[in-house]
Amino acid sequence: MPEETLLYAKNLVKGYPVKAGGFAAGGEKIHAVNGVSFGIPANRTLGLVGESGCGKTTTARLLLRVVEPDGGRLYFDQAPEKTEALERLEAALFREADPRRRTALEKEAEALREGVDFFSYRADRLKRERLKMQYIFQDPTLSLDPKMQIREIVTEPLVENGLVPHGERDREAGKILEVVGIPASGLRKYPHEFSGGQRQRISIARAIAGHPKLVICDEPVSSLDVSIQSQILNLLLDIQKEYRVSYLFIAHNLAVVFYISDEIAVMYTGKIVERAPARQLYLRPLHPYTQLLISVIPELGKKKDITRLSREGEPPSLIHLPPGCTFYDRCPRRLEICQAETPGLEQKRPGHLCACFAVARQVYPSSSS
Amino acid sequence: MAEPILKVRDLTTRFRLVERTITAVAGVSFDVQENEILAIVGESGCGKSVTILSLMNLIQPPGFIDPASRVLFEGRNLLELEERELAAVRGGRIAMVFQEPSASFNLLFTVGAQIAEALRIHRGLSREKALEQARDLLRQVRIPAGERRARDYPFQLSGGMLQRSMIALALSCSPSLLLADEPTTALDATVQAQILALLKEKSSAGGMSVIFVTHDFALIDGFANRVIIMYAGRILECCSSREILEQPAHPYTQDLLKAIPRLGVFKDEQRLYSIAGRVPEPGNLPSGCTYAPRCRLRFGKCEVEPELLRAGGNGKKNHTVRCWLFA
Repeated sequence: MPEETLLYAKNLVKGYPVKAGGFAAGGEKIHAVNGVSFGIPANRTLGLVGESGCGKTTTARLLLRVVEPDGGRLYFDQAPEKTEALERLEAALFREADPRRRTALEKEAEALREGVDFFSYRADRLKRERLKMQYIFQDPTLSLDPKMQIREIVTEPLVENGLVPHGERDREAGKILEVVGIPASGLRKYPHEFSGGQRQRISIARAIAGHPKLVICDEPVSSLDVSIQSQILNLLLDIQKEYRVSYLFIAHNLAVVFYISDEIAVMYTGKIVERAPARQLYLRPLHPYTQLLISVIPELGKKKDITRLSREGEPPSLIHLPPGCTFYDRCPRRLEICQAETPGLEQKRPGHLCACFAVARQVYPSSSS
Repeated sequence: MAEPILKVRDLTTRFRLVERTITAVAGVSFDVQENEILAIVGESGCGKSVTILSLMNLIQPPGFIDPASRVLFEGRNLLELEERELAAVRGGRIAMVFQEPSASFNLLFTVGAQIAEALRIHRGLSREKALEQARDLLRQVRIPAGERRARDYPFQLSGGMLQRSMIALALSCSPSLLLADEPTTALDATVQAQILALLKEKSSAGGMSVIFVTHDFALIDGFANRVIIMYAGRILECCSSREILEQPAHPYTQDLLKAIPRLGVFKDEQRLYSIAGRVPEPGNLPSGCTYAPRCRLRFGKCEVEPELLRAGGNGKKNHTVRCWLFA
């Protein structure tokens, strides 16, 4: 875990059982997230992109523990020494053959894990830690309680956790709402009295009220009109500067994600297939899937004829994932090995990770001319 | 220029609510040329979908179309046709595709049977002949294993395949005009590109014109020939898709283009332009120019609503804009 990492998710796995009964009975699973690892540095934005069903939203929900993972670790706002100690212990456990010593090691690891792994926090600790990890969802109409006044919505987590005494509630709410540009006259109003853009501002106010370190933004502007989107994106950028918060930013609109993110991870069938700084990913995408994705995005003023670039094909079923690389069927650069083995996410260029056998490694840029 | 295949004149659609009547589309006029893809772009509530529904006289009470409105297609005013005559036009000479393909199909019949039904009604084909052509159409829109897919029920197809089937259904009677209301909004980027390619191919090869409604400005580039920008039920600007991007005339169009994040522009390079305020509600429009309250260039004249004016300059004969700056 590098020094400034705020969050490190390791090998996240989540499958949803296909509903029992009917023809689908028989323990089948939709493999939504299949071994996803990534870090988010402090005060930075990681964008997650990919088409519907690629696991973006499930990944976000796993971080929040809205759904519990089938496997994986989550280190959030932890001193690196502690997480490293756990990693060392687990490596030792992996090598240990003697059953008695294994039991001792397991106990030790278990104790350590409870202290550092977000996924093993119990309810009371989770409640406290969650203040540091907030969220903004797509539809502010659904995520704001229609029966609560705005001042209650915004300060509820603070009052609940005893961070703000009841008497100071209105003052605190007024302060936060001012940051997001909602006038103090709105304090006693209800969500339905606001427009969509204003409601999203209120969601943002609630998210930043407790000075979180990470805000997970799942399609925060996709339900908004184009002329309102830029207001909200600018607000998110201003808040990041002021509050030094990190964002995990999910959106299907690539132009939005590329604009707001420092780094971007591309997901396909529940896996990260490429990760790089935003500019680098746009200018030099390595993975054939990323290349396809960028080629089909309509770009203003680029005279790009996306109708010529489209290729047939759709992602495979998440219930029966094929062996090997899941992009094999659609890939223009596939090799024989791709059908049998799954490529790992490895560094192909400095700071640029990609999971593809067809992409050569070139970590040190050649200085020859 | 050849005679346009569709002429819309002063289309006005109102909705009678309990306490007042609101105007969703206010005096919209435009032409559609043969083989042309015309994009209607606007934010939610600007009247773009109501315009499309009005063209086919599909407005349900409490909505109604102002009797002075005219939609001229093949020499007839569609708004004056009997329901029976109009039904023959819908799905035949003029076809429609909507946003959510799963809502457009009947879930109790196979996709093939539903396409065949249109062929039997409009073309009078026999059941077998119609089914055969349905399978052929599914192949034409490049649905993998189209033969077999014709026997599938809508729930067995993915969103992209369903939208292609919808297009196969729309194309089944070789319409001369296709009305497409956000047909790719619910679809992924790669599938969207496939659908757009299909529409473009059919319009340039098959002698079909398309009215394409979208909120996504980026879509028009490289796809549409001409663009209409709608705002608060009015056309604010209309010109070729190249001109709208290179020389947008209306302040609203200019502001929107600066507010949309573009691929290849990053946060450390440029701050997005923030348009103040929000889209007015149809029942609560400002008097005068509808964009004036948000406009950075408004001046005295804007208290009165301008007509659609020439954007000026030679070679811009077909560029119209509703703004006093061009008076």
